[in-house]
Amino acid sequence: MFPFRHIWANLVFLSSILVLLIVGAFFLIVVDLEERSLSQVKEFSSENISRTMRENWESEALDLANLLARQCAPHLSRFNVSAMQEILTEAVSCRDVLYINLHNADGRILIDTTEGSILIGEKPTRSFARRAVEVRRALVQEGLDFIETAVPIFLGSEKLGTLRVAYSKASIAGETERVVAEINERIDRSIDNSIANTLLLGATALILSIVVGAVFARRLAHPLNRLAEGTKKIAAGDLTYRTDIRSRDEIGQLAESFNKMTADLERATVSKNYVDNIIRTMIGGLIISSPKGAITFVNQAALDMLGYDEEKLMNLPVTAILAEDTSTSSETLLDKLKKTGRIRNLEGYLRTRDNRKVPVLLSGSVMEGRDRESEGIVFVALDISERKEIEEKIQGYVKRLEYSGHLRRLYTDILSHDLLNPANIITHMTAFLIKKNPDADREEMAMILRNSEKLTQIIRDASDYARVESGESLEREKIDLFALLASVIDRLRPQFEERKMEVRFDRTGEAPIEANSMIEDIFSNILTNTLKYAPEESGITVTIVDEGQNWLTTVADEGEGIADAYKESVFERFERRDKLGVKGTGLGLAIAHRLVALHGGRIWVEDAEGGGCLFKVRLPQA
Amino acid sequence: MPVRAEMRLRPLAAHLANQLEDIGFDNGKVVAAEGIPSMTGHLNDGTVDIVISSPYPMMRFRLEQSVRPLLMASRHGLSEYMSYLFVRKESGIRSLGDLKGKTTAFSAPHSTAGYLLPLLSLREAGLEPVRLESADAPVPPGKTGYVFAAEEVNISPWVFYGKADAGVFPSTLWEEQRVNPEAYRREFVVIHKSVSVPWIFASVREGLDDGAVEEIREEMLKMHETDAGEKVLRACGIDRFMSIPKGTLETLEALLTGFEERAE
Repeated sequence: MFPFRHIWANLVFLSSILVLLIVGAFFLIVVDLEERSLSQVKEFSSENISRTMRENWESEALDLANLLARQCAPHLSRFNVSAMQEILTEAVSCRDVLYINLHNADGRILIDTTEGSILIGEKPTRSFARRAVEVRRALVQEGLDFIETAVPIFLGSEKLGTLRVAYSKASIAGETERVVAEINERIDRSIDNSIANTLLLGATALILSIVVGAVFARRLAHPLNRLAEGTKKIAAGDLTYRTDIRSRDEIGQLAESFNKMTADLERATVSKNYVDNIIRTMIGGLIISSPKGAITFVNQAALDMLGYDEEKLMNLPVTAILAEDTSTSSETLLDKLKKTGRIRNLEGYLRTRDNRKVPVLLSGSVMEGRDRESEGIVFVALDISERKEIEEKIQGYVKRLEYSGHLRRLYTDILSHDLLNPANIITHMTAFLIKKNPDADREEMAMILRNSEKLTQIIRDASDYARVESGESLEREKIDLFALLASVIDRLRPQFEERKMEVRFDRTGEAPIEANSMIEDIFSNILTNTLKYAPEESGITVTIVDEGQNWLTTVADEGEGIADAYKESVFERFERRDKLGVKGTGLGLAIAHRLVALHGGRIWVEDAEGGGCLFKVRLPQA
Repeated sequence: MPVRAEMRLRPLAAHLANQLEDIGFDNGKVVAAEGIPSMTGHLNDGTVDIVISSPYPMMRFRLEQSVRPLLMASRHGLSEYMSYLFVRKESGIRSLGDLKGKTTAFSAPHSTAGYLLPLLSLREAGLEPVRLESADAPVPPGKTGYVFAAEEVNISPWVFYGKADAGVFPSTLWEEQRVNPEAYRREFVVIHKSVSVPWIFASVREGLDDGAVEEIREEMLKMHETDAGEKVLRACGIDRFMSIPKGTLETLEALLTGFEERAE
């Protein structure tokens, strides 16, 4: 559209064209006006100039004649011919005078300047000359080729002579012609000057417009050039480039937008680099296909997973790598994607280059453009080979666990039913026999009774432990620890009193927990343990402390304490402190430990102040 | 020297300067003087080296010891001239004696034919010429008056129109139309012709080196023999220069003897 590459050059060009058009129009108008005026002036001037010149000449001739007459009068009175000759010679030379004749009073020509101012002495022969010397006033006469002005020469009232001044008509015509020509020339010159001035004005205006236009255009184009340079730098990769153009006009706004765009581009590029990095480093395989299913992009993870080179995969149909026995058929998978727009975490298989099937967790979505047209499909495939292995192992474990749980439940059932019942029967029958036969071997009977009771207790404890170990039947209910402990202490009171042991427990308060009723066994086992190992006539202190989210129950005795090496092992099965006369199965604290763990708490033992044991049980508040 | 004469003699001055360059003349120019005293001053101060004049001024310069007459010149074939004294035919004046109580128009005080010769003629005629301030001034009784017309061109109209009773012209100008047009001249009659004297003298100033003077003399004498010289002479209105005949100067001196009036 514009002839030049540079915007400033185009601006200068346009402004110059504009100036030229304006000046040209002005020029044409001026020239036209002047030419029209000129012809009228020229027509008018010739005739009027001639008339005016004639009148002017006559007037000048009259003036000259009068002047000469006045100058010659004193000389004529003294007949100083030489002086008059000088005067007339000078007069003739100053103007286009044809001749000057100075006549004496008698009419003779005293001096004639026709061939230099010479004495003549002759009387005039021509009638107009005779006529001129006779009058006592100025007289203008016209001959064939001359116009003569005659004035009398007076000295006072005495006429001394006559002075005749003649101008050639040819001179007058020539002078008129010269004047007309001069006037015409001046007119022409005026027009030429006018045209020249117009051209000069035009040229000046053009130059000024070019200069001013160039200056402003460059000032206008300079920031644009800088913006153009900036785009080149950005295209070359320098996204940190910012322009420092500051102006309030549209260019300033453009510069501001440019900087913002560059900053956004930089962020986007950083983001893109970030995204590219993510895509490059992500573990999952990223596969992008065209809307028709041709692969257009794969990341390195996908290439590694599939064993392909990138070039080999490009433009392959995506169905080529989706294995047939996916969770749904691959064809249906694409259809489903197109229908629903996405799939999420479907287990399937990808076919590698060497025709292996890789188990994957497949997610996909359709990319939509602005006009909601599909621009492609994005697949993410997570290799779940390891997980599959682990799942299979876990399934194996689960099966084994199920079997062991089955065995445990069988064991628990046997313990709780098949062993406990007979043990109870033995105990009850033994007690019955003792009661029925007071004279029987009490010692033996008592031994049978004690051992059957022990057996029964072992079976119960074992059953409890088994049940606890299996984690089953732990229905929970809201239980108040204060009430629970009070109940346990009350139940064991006879035993405490038998050993003259004092149990100190502040029963006021509420400490609600969500727990199974078996939790009573925790504190029952701890207190029972204390009963066994603390000395007679010692004290037992039981507290419940609110820790905010937990209740901390402490049971402190005044016994020998537990060595640090055993503080953990006492909570293991069948681990008992050695002490003579202490009865027990060795499962109580293990059961307590398991129960606390099942309730999300913790049990441990520390040294009490004064040397005994300090059992601590932390349980979550309800 | 009149302006006309000045301009006429310029070629001569230039020629002589050119020809006499080797004797120290580096340029030639014409110096005009208002009258005999003025020219005498120029001659004495060395401003003028050569003066061309009529006999009377030459004799005056010589009397002042300002010049040495060198050569004579001829013009229009004439080397001598005289003075004509004329009157109007109808004036009734027929001889010099009739000029008693009349006024004669002379030309200028430095003029030989226009003053010296006619004045001598009037004296020789037994008249007592008296200078008048103007032509209208009355002539003292018993005397004859003369008035200077300043220019020769004034003389014939003065006489024709009766401003002066008589007039004098050099013989060489009698028929000159410019100064004595035929319209007037035919009404005049010459009543006296003076003695003839050489017309033009070329003199050098006193003090010029003899050698230079001789060089000048030789150069001027041979001018008419060369084309360039002849051209110059023609431009000056001179035919040739010639030696002064013996006795000429003495004759002129004799004419001036007893002439008591000095030029103005």
